[in-house]
Amino acid sequence: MTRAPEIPEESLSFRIAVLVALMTSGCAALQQGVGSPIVWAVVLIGYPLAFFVAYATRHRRPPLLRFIVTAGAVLVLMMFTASISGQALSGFASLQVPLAEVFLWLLLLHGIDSPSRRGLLIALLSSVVLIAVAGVLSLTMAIVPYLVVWAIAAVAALVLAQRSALALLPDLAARTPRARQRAAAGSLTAVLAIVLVMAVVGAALFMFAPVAGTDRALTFPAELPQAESVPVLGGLANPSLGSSDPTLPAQPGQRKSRASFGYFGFSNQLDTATRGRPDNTLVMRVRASAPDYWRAQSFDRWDGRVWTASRTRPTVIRGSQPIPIPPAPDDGPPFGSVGTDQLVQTYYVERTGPNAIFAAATPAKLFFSDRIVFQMPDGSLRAGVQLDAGSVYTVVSQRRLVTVDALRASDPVHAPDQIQRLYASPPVTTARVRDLATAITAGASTNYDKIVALENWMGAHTKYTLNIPPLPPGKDAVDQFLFVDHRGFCEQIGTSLVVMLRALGIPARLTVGYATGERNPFTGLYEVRAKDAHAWAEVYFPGVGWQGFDPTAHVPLAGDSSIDAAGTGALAYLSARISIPPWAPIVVAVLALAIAMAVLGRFVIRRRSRRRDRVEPSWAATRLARLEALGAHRGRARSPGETTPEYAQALARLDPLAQSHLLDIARILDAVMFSPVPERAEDRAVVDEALDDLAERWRGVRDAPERVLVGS
Amino acid sequence: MRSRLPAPASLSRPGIVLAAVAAALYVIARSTGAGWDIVILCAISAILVIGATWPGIALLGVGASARTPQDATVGRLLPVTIELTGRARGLRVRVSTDPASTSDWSRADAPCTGETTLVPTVRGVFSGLLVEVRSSSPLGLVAWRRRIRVQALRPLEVAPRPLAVRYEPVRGADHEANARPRASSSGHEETRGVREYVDGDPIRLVHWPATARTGAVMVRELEGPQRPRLLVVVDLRGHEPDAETAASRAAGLALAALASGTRVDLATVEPGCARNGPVQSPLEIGRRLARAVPGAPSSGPVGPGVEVRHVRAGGLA
Repeated sequence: MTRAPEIPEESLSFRIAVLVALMTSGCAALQQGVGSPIVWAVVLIGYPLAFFVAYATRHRRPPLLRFIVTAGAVLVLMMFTASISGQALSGFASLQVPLAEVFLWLLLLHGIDSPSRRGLLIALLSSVVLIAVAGVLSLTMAIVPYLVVWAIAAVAALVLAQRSALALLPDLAARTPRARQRAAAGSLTAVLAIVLVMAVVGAALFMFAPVAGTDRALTFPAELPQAESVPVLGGLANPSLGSSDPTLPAQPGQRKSRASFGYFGFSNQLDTATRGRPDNTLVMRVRASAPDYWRAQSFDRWDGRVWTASRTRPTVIRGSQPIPIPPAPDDGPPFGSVGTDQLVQTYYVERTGPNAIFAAATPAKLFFSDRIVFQMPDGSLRAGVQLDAGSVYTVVSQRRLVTVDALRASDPVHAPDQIQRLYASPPVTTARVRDLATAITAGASTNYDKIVALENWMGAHTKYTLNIPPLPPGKDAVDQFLFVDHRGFCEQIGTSLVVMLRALGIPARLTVGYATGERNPFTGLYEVRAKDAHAWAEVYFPGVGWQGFDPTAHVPLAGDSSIDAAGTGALAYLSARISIPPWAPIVVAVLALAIAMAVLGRFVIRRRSRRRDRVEPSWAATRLARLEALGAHRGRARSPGETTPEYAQALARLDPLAQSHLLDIARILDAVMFSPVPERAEDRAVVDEALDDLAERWRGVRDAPERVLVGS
Repeated sequence: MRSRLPAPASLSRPGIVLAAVAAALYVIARSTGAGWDIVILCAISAILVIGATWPGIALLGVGASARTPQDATVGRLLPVTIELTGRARGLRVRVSTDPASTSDWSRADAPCTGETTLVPTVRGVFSGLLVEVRSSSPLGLVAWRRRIRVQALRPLEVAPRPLAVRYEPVRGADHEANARPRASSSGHEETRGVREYVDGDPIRLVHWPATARTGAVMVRELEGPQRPRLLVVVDLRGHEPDAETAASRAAGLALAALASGTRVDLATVEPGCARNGPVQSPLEIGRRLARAVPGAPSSGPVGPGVEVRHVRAGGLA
């Protein structure tokens, strides 16, 4: 079967709209790191040239052109094969960029071979694919301008394609040049209207659309811009602290305070006497389908002021992607009383930070570009290389679906000895702290209820603030916080909870990491800033495992938390970033009023114009209708196939005495209705008089319907 | 004018592909966690929603009326004037008398008035026309249609396409004898009476004195000196294709007879009654046969010298 030859597309505006959509989506993809400078040239110069060639040769396709396109396609596919054959591929993530690059090349060839509407529509749909690729790769809001331009161009292309298809049909009514101008202006109006409606409908859909990434199974990106080893393999290095690293020897007269965006907690020790204010620096983005705390490490030893990790010897884990993470010694026996689910998190490092590999509890698999990582006894992970800006890694965590009931049901008697010894031994603190802990939890029956009681007490009697006085030398930090200052931030609050729990014999530790961060509803990423650095308590529940508790913020329980819609928090996110001047509402209100008045005015003018132009039924039509009404009343309705004279004759057979009237009416109406000459006044008078007579004559008379004898 | 509410008619190929792309985007977004793909998915979904509803909403306000000549013939172009009311752009319009007789699509922006043509393929009397207005504007993704039945002021009468039939009038002795005394001295036709003008009558037959007297256009009824008579009895009972062929044959026979100077009577059956009467013009032949329906025709009492021919759905008798 041969395919019908394609009709060349004549609409230049349609072609240009498709080109703009294609170039915009191509640039959006290139902006996300797809392709080399040559591909930029392909998109910015090659595409317009290809479209020009296609337009110029739309009526006559030189055979050489087809050969060039075919040979080009073969060449591009060979280039693609060569480019991926030398790389170590790790799933779809590593193929995304090469595939997108090949697609950009193929679209150049397709552009040359697009003389018809079909080819242009394929190019338009390809632009959807490209913008989707850009969307997959985009981590920031930088894609927004591309998206806006692409949407306008794509809508314009669809509108113009529809107009172009209609242009092949004959016009029902001859169109004047002015009408053609109006139609062109109408296309522009339609595009603007559709874009406006699309923005409204799209925003509404976004509010209810499912969140991205809950079924993640396709991409597990991992990338290291430069694999520079850390000074001590298995040790923790935190270049973000700079000279203010507390582990470095202090200079004489130097006071420990934050001099950078880095957090002191990502170190071998955490000195709670250190004061400072974290800044707003974006340190990393996390792609995850659910919020969680991104753990770095935990501390087990407390001396009344400084937390340290008592065991610094890591376990080396080697493996290819993904690197399996075994259970850590401090995790205790496998938890069995609660279910688990997988939480896939991809970390995009924005600023060079510690070599701690952040992960939601409890990491099970790691997609990382280095073959060696280190696991500490508490389960925290460290890289053997520096994690510079641009580093990407993905962690698959096995999350316990913890609920309050499961925590209450946990049996505290069966905590392993090692955990009990390391994390529940009597802490270094004052007696009144121990007494306070006992007093607060006197009425609580389970460990969970004791934790809640302590959290509630601290919530009622202490205040969260970053502005707290320095810790006096020799003072116990927890005692100072609970009985003297009553003010503190996460370190004081978390430490106090851990110390009081240990005083009660409950295994607990202080964990540091980052809080969830603010979710960007558009990228779907959590934007983690320096100020999100956090310390919180983790409590061991036999049968459940370690569970985080944070009196300063709500720690999500994995079994209870989820985000239902993609647009959750979108308005808050935007309003926090868009500063609205005080005069803006007034201007918007005035503009809205003006638009409303203009629309209303146009509506009123049109309505009046329509009333003025409304075609009234002709005199003959009204009189014929009256005759039909009279005839129907007389018992003889007009048949569908009956002409006026035939109908008049039929009525005359019913009432022969009215024959002359009926024939007069039929003759005049028939002549008037089918004659370009307007009716005369005397004709009107004759018909009206005859109809009046008939009305008078037939008043109250109703005959049986006329019967026609077969064969008569 | 009766019109149905707009209904979706078809999903265009770009619409199908765009819907498939949206589905693929959903899967990709769910599998990769790409938030921007949800944004793009919402934009594409919005385009699909607009493309699927806008044409239907636009068609809600569109009305139509149509005018045709009263007479048409199967297989010959019939001009139809269509008037569209309301406000909508990018419409496709076509008109039909029956499902088989449909005009080609024309494009229109309502309101407008214009002419299109259709070729009737079925004989009969049609009290109305079906105007179909389609729109997939502005995005061309989903096409909606609205079918508007337009009641004609006068019914459209579609005559059968006449078949080429050779006719030689029979000139028997009786006929000669009857005809001779009526011949005028000049040997030409003579006036038997006057009657009201019907479409198709030659202008030369207008009888001006009678027209002036009655006020209606009157024409002379002629009776020639040697004018034979033919009664065509049309029986359309039988299978429909055969019946239509019979109607075409009857038309061809009557026209050939009329052209040969024969006085022609047609015996047909019209809805509700049998009809037997003279036809004096091609137009009248067409109308009578347009109205003819299957049934037993009555040839009535046949006078001397009248040739009777039966045209049946089975063939010419």
